[in-house]
Amino acid sequence: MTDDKLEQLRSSFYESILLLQDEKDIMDALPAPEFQSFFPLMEGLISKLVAECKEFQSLGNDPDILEEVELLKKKIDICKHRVESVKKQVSEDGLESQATCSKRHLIFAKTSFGSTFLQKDLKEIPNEYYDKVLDTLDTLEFGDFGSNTEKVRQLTNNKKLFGLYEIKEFKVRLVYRVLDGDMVYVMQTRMKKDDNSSLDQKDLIYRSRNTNDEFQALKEKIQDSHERELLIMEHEVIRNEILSELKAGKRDGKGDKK
Amino acid sequence: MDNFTKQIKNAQGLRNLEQTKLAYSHEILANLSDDPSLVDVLTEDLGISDTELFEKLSGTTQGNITFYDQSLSSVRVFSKSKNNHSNKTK
Repeated sequence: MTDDKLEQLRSSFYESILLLQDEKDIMDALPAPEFQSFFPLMEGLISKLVAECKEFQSLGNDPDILEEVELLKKKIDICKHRVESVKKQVSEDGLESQATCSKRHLIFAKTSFGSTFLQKDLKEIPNEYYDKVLDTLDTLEFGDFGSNTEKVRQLTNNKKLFGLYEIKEFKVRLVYRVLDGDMVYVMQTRMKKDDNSSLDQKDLIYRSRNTNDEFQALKEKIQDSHERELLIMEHEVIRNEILSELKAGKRDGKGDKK
Repeated sequence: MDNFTKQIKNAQGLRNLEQTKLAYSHEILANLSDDPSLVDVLTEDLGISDTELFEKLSGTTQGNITFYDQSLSSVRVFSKSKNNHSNKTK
C-alpha cells in the first residue's frame, strides 16, 4: 500500500463532488466530522474546488462557464462553512473554554431503565474508593480546569473528533462530554485497571456509542431555555441522590464488592 | 446547462462516489486479508464493532467517506508499524 493509492482514492472522491449538482446530494456526500480524516479530506477538497474555479474563470464569460463557476463557489462556501463550524465546536468544547466556568451543571447519562450509568458503574467500584468518586464529581462541578490540567484531560487516543474528557483521582476515572458551556454530560465512572487498558477503552467506546443518541437529543433540547432549566433541576435531584449514595457507601465501608 | 445535463452529471457524481467507496473497501479488505489481526486494532481505533466494520466494507450499509479514508489510513499505519517492529526483532 503506497501513499499514491490513498491520494488516488481521495482524488476520485473530489471528482465525485465536482460532478454533483444537487445541493442535498452534495451535503450528504461531504466528509462528516466522525474521524480525524475529516480535516485532510476537506482541505484537499477545498483546494481542488478552488483550483477548478480559477481554471473555469480563466475560460471567459460564456453563460455555461459562469454557471459552473457559481456552482463551484457555492460548493466552496458549503465546505468552508462546514470546516469552520466543526473547528468552532471543537474549540468551544476544549479545556480552555471549560476553564472559564466556575460551576458546571452535571447531567447524567441514563440507562434504558431510567437510572443513571454512573449509579450502575458504582456497583463495580469498591466502597473504599467512593471518596475518590466524590472528588472527581466535585472537580467536574467546581474545579478550576485552567490550573488543574493534570487531573483533567481530553482523551486524544479516541479517534472521534468530538472528544471525551476524563477526570482522575488516584485509580478512579470519571468520563464526560461537554453539552454546552457550563453543562457537562457524565458518562462513566470506573476504576483504572493496570492490566486491562484495551478492555477499558472498548468499554468506553461502547458506552460512548450507547449514549450518543441521548447526548445529541439533549444538545437539541437545551437550545430552549425553559427545557434547559427543567433539565438542570431534574439532574440536581439526581446529583443529590448520587452524592447521598456515595456518602452512605463510604460510611458503610463494606470492603471490596468484587 | 440544461436540466437533463445536470441530472446526468449528478447521477455520474453519485455513481463515482459509490465506486470510490468500493475501491477504498477493496484496499482495506486486501490489507486486512494480509493480516486479520488488524481487524481488532482497527475496530478499536475507529470505535466501532467488527459487525459495523464489515457491514460497511461489504456494502451492506453505506458509510461516510471519512469512514473509508480513516480506515485505510489507520490500517496502513498499523501495518507499517507492525512490519517495522517485526524487522527490528529479526
